Amino acid sequence: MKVRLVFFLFLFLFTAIIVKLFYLQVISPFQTNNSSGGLNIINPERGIIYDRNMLPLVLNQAKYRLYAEPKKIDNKSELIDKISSTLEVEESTIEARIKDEKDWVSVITGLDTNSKKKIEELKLDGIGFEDEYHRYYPEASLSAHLLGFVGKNTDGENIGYFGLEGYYNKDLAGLPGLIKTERDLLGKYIFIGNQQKIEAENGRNLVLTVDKSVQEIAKSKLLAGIEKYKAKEGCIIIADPRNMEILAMVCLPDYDLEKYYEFSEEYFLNNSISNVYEPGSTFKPFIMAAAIEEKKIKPTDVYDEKGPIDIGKYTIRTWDNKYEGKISATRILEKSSNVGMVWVGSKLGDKNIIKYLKKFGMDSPTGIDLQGEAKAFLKSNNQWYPIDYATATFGQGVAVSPIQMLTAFSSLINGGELIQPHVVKKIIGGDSEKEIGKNVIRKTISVKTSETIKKMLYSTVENGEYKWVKPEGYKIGGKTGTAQIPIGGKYEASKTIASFIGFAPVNDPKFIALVVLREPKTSIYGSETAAPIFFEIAKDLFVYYNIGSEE
Amino acid sequence: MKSTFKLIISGVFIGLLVLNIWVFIKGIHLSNDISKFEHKTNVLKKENMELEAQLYDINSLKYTSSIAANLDFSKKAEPYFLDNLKVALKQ
Repeated sequence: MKVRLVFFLFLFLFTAIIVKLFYLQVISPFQTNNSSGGLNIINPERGIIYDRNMLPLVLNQAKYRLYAEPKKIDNKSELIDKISSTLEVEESTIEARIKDEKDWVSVITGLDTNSKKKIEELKLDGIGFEDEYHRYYPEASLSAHLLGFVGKNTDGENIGYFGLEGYYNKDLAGLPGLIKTERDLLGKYIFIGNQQKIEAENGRNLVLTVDKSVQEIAKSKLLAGIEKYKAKEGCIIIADPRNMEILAMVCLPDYDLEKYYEFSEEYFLNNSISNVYEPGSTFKPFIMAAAIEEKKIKPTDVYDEKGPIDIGKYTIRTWDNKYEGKISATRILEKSSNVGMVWVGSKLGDKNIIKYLKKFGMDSPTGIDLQGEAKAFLKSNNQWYPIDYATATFGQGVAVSPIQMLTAFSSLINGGELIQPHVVKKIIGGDSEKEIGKNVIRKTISVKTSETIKKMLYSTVENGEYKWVKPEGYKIGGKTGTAQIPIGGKYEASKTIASFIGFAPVNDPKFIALVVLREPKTSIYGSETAAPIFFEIAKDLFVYYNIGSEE
Repeated sequence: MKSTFKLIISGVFIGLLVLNIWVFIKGIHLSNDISKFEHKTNVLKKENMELEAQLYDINSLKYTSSIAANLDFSKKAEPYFLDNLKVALKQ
């Protein structure tokens, strides 16, 4: 009797366990806690991006996803009504998301703590919250193109797009961790079970070379300049020519980082690196420097500027169709003489023109650490015709990106070092730090030629055709550029890319800045649009960097 | 002798049973504590993130410019930059 009793007792207990297991595994598998006895992924925190003074440009912010389990909802219309009025979201939007046949649906993402509390106070059945992290930008869209944004890939995973978020995605994303722990149905640990935990490795933090104050100066001046000169768009890059650390990089129009999804893809492209343009006269110093380096001319050599010159069926004129007669090589730069540059080009020789364009890096991307750099567009040697050599001397018929232009120009004034530009100064991961320093690609010209071309560019600013309102007492070098835009194979006279590239102080340049405006309306010339913006920026940078007057 | 052995074995079994129950109860308490601290750590982490965001918000150029606009610190009160410090240089 006793044995039978024990037998039936055990039979009852085992039957109860089997029934419960059948219920949990077959009838209602979703209602069990997913973490019990399984693997839990620990999401890493995405790395923070700081400016060079350790002030953050991108942070992470804790947000919440409101989800619903439609099968557990008693009164759907009441629930929708309450959520809608609390969060001020259209009822139809919520209703469309809560599909009755689903076990789990995401209703609203990106809720802050206050909104979460308000919903919790409603004590609604069938809803819950999940943690999620969003990127937060304390400086709003100050550096939109530079930073890029974090979106989702086709698998719904976070991924960086464009700029730094795109280029350094692997570093910023980190590595997810795993917890293999047995927990009970309430999610509590079962200590008798197996436990294994691999900690997540948070994303690495980036310290940029960019200074947010300089970035702010550049953006405000560009914004004012675009409005004043009624330009279609514009870009400014400021760098330290001694090591090619980018101090600021801004293009307008840009986009709202918080609402990137409301903008089309064209807004995401950083024209400083992703677009090429014909540089026009800002290109002349390269040919001049090459000719000096090859000892083909000296700054004092004289050219007789008689009038237009013919090359094949083409006629080349000066920009104002005025000719001064005998002028020095320095004067050619000062008055930005196209015909004078053709003479310099002829002295240099066709082979040398191509050789130096390659030396200055016009045939390859700069390798800047930002996603989306454009390919280089230098024609192959057999595609060059006499007119191409002639127009290349004054920057037409060649295409470069603004960053290529700035990098090459820096080598003219830093003693002849072509340095790879970079935006990230340091990568910090846990206890380790990786410094990213100066990377000299090659030598372009000698120190002597560099000193000579700096003096010529100083003279260009001082004795150029246009008298600017410059910060007094400072020695500034630079060159204007106005390039017509080719439309349908022909140059449109009224549509230009106006630019100015300048540096200061001339003796020991602390910064170099390139200002590019596309299709300014008030004047088509770089001297009347881009140059004044540069001098406004220079004025602020002298104060910011505490650079004293030289005179 | 046999009965003494049985008594010891029974005592050991009862002791192990009590110990097992004690470990089980202790485990539940420990589990509760871990869950509680896990939750608290998570909440603290989030609060910390929010405070960090607020801190840097107040420290931002965006906030400074909004304050400047509220205080009417605009072009009317543009600071005067000393372009050329001739007097200072002469000294």
